[in-house]
Amino acid sequence: MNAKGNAATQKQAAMVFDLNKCMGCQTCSVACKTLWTRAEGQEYQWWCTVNTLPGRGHPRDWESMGGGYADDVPQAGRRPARQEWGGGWDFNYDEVLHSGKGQSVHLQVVGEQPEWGPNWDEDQGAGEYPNSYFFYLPRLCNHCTKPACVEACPRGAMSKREEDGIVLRDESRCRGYQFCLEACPYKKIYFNFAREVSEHCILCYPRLEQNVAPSCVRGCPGRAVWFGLLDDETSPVHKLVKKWEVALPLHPEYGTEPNVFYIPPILPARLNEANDFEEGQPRVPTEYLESLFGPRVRPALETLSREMESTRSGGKSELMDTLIAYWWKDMFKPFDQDPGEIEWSRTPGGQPGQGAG
Amino acid sequence: MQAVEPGGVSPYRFLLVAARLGSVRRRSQDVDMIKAQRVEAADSALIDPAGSEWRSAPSTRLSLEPTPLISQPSAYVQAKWETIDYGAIGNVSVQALHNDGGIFFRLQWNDATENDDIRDTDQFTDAAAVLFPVKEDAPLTSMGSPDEPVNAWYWRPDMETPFSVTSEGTSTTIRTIDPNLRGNGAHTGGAWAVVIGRALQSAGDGYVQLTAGEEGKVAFAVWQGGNDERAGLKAVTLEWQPLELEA
Repeated sequence: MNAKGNAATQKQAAMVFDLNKCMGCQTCSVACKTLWTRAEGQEYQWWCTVNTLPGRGHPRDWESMGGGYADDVPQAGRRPARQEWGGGWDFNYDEVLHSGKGQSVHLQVVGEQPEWGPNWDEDQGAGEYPNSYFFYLPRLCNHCTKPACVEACPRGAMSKREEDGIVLRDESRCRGYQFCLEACPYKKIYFNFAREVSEHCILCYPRLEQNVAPSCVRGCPGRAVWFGLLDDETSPVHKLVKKWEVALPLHPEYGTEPNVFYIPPILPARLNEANDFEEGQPRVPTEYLESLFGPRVRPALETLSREMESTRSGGKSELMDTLIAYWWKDMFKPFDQDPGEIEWSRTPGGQPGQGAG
Repeated sequence: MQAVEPGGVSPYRFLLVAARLGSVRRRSQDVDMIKAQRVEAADSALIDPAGSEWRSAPSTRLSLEPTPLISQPSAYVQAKWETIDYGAIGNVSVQALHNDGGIFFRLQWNDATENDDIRDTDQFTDAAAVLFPVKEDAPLTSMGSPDEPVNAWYWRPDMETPFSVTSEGTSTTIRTIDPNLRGNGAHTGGAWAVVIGRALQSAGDGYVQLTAGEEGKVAFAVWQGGNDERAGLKAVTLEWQPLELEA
């Protein structure tokens, strides 16, 4: 264990999402939800979410809530309120389904009406037709190399596992004080009302210990996400992040060194008034991508364009082959064990359904 | 500064320096004998903060200070609360009674906002605690040490019973349920009145044991939930107060 978590662990698990391939289907979100957050107190929790960018995200305007580090100094953050999270609503199922009013009453949220939700501004995006644009951004705990949450906890309840850098919480020590939530600049920690502890993505560590990839990864029908250990040179994650440097962390300026990386999106070029593509004029403004992924976006986009061009003209490209992902299981080797072939043990009070996915 | 209310005495008085990063404040801190008078009354009468026994019990008004910022155990907390005031409750009036079987502390403090439940993800409750050294010289600011632990009775308005909290230093607290520990609070007229009581003797790892006719030490803490106070963000008596249980 690495008590304050301010140094790299021996090994680091990492994920790469290709934003050119993510189609916003939410299969990752639902795979996670059904596996980990079905209990009381977790109704509003979505450890993995996919939001449309440009957009305000989940929780609403999370990028303005502070946290993280500036020049290694912890930055104050704030905790979102329920309305900013949204989700976990109660619906009038009984009234619609069992009261004979099915033709006169429509399904709706009971009680306080929602103002936001986990995927509220889906497909809105930005820009003017015909140059409007959007893309999807899957988000989960970044299992940062410098996790602000771990440092912030006055209880020493949080730590980074030495063997894979997963950020975990010892619930027997957690008191639900939520300093972790304030300090997390990505706002990917949730307070559980029922148990009065904070909770976040555990990167499916019980699966990893059986060489099974996280459920969001295995669940992706678009072959849009890779998983592996960052320093495993045979892993696509290593190739995309370290070798080709086309996979970038979200908001590197937050100073926590995330270990979830993204291939930036390349949409078609802008259309001019004559309805022709204007090459060199990206529809997604590069400045916008830089505001998300930092200054390394430009060289990453150049590399991607160069390698795409190379394969178009008949050449071979390891990068393109990796991104195409011809063989599904190669995307997360050696964590390619089939979870259906494992006899899962359940601990008392543990979560159900670890076998699925 | 602190005022001594009728019935209270102030045999000790000395100066403490409460230093906070960013601003250095100097305040005097009084140390008062908390006398737990012996009364013939049932536990059920004493656990009621509006009970008649409390009307004539001596009351001591203690000034509270924010826990020193330097003792907050994470850089995040130190950085954020360098510029945010905490320890919002400035003083607490303390009464103590025992009936030879149990000892009861009645704490009263002004608090315009009643934060009695966690209804949203950005809320905390008000809370109060009575703290004892389990060994006589246990350090207060660090909440004890491995060799000299402390024991707190921690009350929250949304909890059925208080927790017994044992601690051997910063960040080491453990909460346990002590069946001999009870609490009862009411928020009326812009003030909390809370009684926390326990059998003088209670078997449990790290629990303080009290005896009629003997002296000990006690300290108090109050959290203002409406000011995001929780954990080490609280108002405390910076010194142990001597405690005397009438024979």
